[in-house]
Amino acid sequence: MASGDPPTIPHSAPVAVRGVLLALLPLLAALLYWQGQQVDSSLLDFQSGGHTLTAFLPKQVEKWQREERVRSFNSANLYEYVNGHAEYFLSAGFRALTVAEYRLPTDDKQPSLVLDLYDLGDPLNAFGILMDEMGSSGQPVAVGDAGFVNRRSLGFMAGSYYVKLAAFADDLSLQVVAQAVAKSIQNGTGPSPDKISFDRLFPDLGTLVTTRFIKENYHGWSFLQRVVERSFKQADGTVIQAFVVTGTPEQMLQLEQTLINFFKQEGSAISARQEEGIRLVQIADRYEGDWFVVPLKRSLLGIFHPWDDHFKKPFKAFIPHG
Amino acid sequence: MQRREFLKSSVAIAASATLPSLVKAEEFVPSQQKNATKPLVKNYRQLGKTAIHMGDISFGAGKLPSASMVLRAIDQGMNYFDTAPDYGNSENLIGEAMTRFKQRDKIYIASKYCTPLPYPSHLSAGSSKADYIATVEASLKRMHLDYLDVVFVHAMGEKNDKLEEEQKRLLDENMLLATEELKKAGKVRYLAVSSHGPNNLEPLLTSAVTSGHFDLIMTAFNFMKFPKLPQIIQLAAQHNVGVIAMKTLAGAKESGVESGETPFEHAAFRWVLKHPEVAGLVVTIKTVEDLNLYLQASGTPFTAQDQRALDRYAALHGQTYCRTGCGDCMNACPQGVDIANILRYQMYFEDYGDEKRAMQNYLALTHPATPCLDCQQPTCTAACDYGLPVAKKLQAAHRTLSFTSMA
Repeated sequence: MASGDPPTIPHSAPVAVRGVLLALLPLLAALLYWQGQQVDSSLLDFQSGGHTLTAFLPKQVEKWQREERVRSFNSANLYEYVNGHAEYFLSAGFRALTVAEYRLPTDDKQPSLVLDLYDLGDPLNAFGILMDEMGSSGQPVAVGDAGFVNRRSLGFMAGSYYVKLAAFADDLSLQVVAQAVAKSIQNGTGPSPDKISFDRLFPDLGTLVTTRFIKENYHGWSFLQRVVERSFKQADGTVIQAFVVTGTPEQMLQLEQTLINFFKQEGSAISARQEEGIRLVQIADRYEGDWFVVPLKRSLLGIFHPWDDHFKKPFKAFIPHG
Repeated sequence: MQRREFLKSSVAIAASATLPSLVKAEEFVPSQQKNATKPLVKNYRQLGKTAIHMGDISFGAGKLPSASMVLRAIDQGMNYFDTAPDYGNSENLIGEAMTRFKQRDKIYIASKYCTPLPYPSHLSAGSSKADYIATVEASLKRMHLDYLDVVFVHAMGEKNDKLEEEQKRLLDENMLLATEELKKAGKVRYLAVSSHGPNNLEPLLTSAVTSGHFDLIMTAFNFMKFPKLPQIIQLAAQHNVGVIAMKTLAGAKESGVESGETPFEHAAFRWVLKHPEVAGLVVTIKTVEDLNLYLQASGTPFTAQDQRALDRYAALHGQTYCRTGCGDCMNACPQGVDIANILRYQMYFEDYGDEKRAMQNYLALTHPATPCLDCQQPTCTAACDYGLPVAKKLQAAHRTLSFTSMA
């Protein structure tokens, strides 16, 4: 070939290049797949309700230093963190979870504190989880809207958030970190518009004695789930129990119908009446005694007592939730 | 509401024993004309040499949701209620029911030598006579009763795998003296022992039966074979010691093995009740639906269709169900992992939906399944006569039950 001629590529060359490229394709695909597998979805910081949950977690609280690596989970990968327990949280309104670890200067290999911050979308959900996980075994502690502490763990709720701190040794000042996180949540969400307000769910029926959360099968009725129950002491020393279930207007209509159908099948006498502008459904129940429910737009209130005049005043002042 | 008030009201769960009485309702009298639309107890059997004639299907009140459930059960013919101080609010709710139901002699109430601390809170061997008496008196107070029909030395072999130590608890002299005194005072009628394993169920129940001190035993018993249990219940019958069965649903898995009109629960109950030595079974009842479903099996015979349903269940779950009380794997781990208890807590979590109790119990274990995660020599699997993949199950259990240690 003369030097002035344009270079020519042998016919066989493109075929070889194409062959090499073709041969590389599976390799390339494998490489891309492998890189994809290296992305730990838990390291993505999911946004929740307009907030990045990590922003609620201070980097330093006194001697506690937050580890750089903070893991986040959503409903699709929650099982990676709480395998076997994910459904429990999902059914309680779970939106997002962020897990952080805090280290003391004296910690050797393992950080001594793990903090789980759950966004449960609603204060009632957070209250339910808190009571379920900690309420019967822990001692009350003044953190957030409500909290309990055990030997090595502390749980509290703040608005719709449930926070659980677990320590790997005794006598660690969990409260210090918990208080900082509670304050941070409060600062981040502002004066909590969704702060739990049981007072708006119940009329003032006397001196408050207890507040409980019952996750399922309230009084053995499988249609009553996620119930808040309160008991009120009367002037004569007796106690009246009341309960409330909240939900959308459609859910409440359905619940009312289910409840009425159940008691009809039971053979209980059911009657409706108006009192103080509120509709009551009275149930003559062989087992509970006479009691009544108040179907409201976003809640269903039940009171285990027959209606009588002493309810008039509290019901007049009652501004129902929602 | 101030936060302090909120906190105060929130923790009142644990303090509910001190609640003032609820608004009084009228006396509850069981329906004379039984409602034909509701299933009823149809068969009552004598419990050993006692004067107890218990319903073949009886009420396990470990997850009792309300006092009204007790009244409802009485209305449907149930007459035997099994509770304990460490079953949450159960005794208080029975007490609430008893303020309305006045016919004390029509029902039998059994409780345990335990305290109201979170389960398990059985009195240990070496407790004083006064401790034993105090637990019964506290139960009576919570339930507004003058006497207990039965008091149990509860859950033998549950927390302690040392046979000798548990035998000391079983035959604790102070317990026997306290029982004698309580019987003389008319506060207790009969002494009993219960065991759902996992440790030494068979030797402990055999000791109880042959000791002459116990009027009845309550044992885990179901169609998923317990090697020596048939002999033990026969031995009990020979000694005129009554037998009550529990854990009869063999894990209560969502099996989907109903054949035709036979729900799995009915087949499992009928299998237990076909043994003439068994006076009745105690099953946990949480809802009205449970009550109505379970009672449909009362007084009905075990059929070939039932056997087919159970065979299908065994085929589906035989290699996943850990036989409570079997104990083959107990000493299989050189690192001392508490295999049988861990698998049982996993059953509480997965099959009974009792997540909180399962996780709390797991947390309290001295030898959890932590070493199983990177175990290179899983000797436990070979130890299981039923072929359960024990090592894998332990790893899964740890992940499920440890929760906070997942980080």
